[in-house]
Amino acid sequence: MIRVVVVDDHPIVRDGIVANLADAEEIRVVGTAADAATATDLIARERPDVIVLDLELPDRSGLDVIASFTAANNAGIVVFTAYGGEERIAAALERGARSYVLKGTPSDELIAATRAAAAGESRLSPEVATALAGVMRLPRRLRVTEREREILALLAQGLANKTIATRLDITERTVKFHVGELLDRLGATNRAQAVAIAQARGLL
Amino acid sequence: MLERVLEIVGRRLELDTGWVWLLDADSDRFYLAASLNLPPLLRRPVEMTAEPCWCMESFASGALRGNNVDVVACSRLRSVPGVPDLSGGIRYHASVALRSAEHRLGIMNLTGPAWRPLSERDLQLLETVGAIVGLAIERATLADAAGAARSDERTRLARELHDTLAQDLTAVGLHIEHAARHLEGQHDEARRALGTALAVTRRSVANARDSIGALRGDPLAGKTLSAALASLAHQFTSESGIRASVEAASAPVLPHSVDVELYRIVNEALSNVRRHSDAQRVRIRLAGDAHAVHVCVSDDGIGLDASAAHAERYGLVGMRERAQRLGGSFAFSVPPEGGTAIDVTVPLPP
Repeated sequence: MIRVVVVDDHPIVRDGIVANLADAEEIRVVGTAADAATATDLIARERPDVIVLDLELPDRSGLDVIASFTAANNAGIVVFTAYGGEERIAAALERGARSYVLKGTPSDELIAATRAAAAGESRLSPEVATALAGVMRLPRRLRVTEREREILALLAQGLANKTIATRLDITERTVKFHVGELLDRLGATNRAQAVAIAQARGLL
Repeated sequence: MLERVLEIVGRRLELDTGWVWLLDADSDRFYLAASLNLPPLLRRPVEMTAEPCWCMESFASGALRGNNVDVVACSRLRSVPGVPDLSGGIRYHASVALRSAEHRLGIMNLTGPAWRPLSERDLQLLETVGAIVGLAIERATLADAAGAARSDERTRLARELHDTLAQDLTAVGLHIEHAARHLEGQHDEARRALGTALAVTRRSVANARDSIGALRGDPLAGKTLSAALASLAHQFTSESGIRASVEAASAPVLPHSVDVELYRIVNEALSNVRRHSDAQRVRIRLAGDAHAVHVCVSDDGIGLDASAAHAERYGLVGMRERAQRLGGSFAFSVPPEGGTAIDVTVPLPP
């Protein structure tokens, strides 16, 4: 029996995932959570074989919890999300997710990915694999660093350099430097454009 | 606008060479916003790609003040030993800080081969010009900020689309799949109906995702086409050293999809100019009326060979396809006066 925890903040989507997984005989959903905090407790308690995880959670980014969820009890993670975006797919897999399934694909695919994750395997749709190959071909100097990604997220909230500096406890000068690097890497001329490009590439 | 200022002030002070650096507030980097009669030395790309020089440094340290027009021995202008003098004899320039009440905006530099110390009156004139130009730049920046606000609005809309429509459709799809699975082998009529409902739902999810993607990944970032082309030109100039100018005469309001395709065509044309043309200037012209919009990108480079063998390499196929997708036409030419030009005309719906 494959024991599964489902994490998604939309109640009817969550019910739909549970209903479809339960249709597969060897899968049993042992718990559901609507946010990262509840999920953390649930996973520690239930020690599931597989976690089906949405990346848009109300309290934290799903990307940020993948590593801790995987490390906690060696669970296989299947990301089930509305957005692709090459950088996001790469980041999810890099942090330990086994598969990345886009919402809207037939649920048989989600079931197959769940079985694969329990067996320690990955299943990538052609769409996801293509995006991943795109990232790997990107030259290193055009790849956004973790720090820059953090700054991008704050830029996307419309924060000024000064506020970003305070939040990250670095100088405004350093923020400006990072913003300059970001513009170069993304091929953007201003921060609005950088945010738009980053979103299209799944960096946010 | 800035070039016109350089011309007028230059004529008044008999300084026929000038250029303007503007500071990009987000990255604190200078880009070359305008220039007039640059000597050969400065026309070489590498010399004008915002590498720091003394006037920039003194501007940054606050020493270059609006009320004190400095004459700086220019590190950019110093000649390299053993290399023929390409600076046209220019060694010094007057630097005027451009600032508004609150912001440091950039530097206007003026010079000429017949350099002489400027009189008190000349300096006052420069100072006044600096203040007025600063004001004009500030106004243009505010207009850009309005564009950024529009972009934020699009992002908000995208998030809302995702949180409501896309999520609900996903939920509907999952529940239909579940129901259909439990009807397997029976109730053919009901299963067919659910199959249709599922197909429509999946298509809607895909459409919603596309709309969200378009709202988020808009290359124009909420700006008008002419504003987006202007920033593209700035970026191109500061990266390549090739001076790009945009002339947008009474550009009509276009459907967003037309804006986006035209922007991409210009972007591809510029990348050709940079890689193949060996040009020093490139002009982007946008014009149109109620019936059609016309975009032309022309450079003063070596003139590219438009024969079929090169069409693929120069990305001409892609540009033509984009133009045709809009029901428009695409032409590539090597004008008699030299260089290369591409022309795109797109008819507008009546």
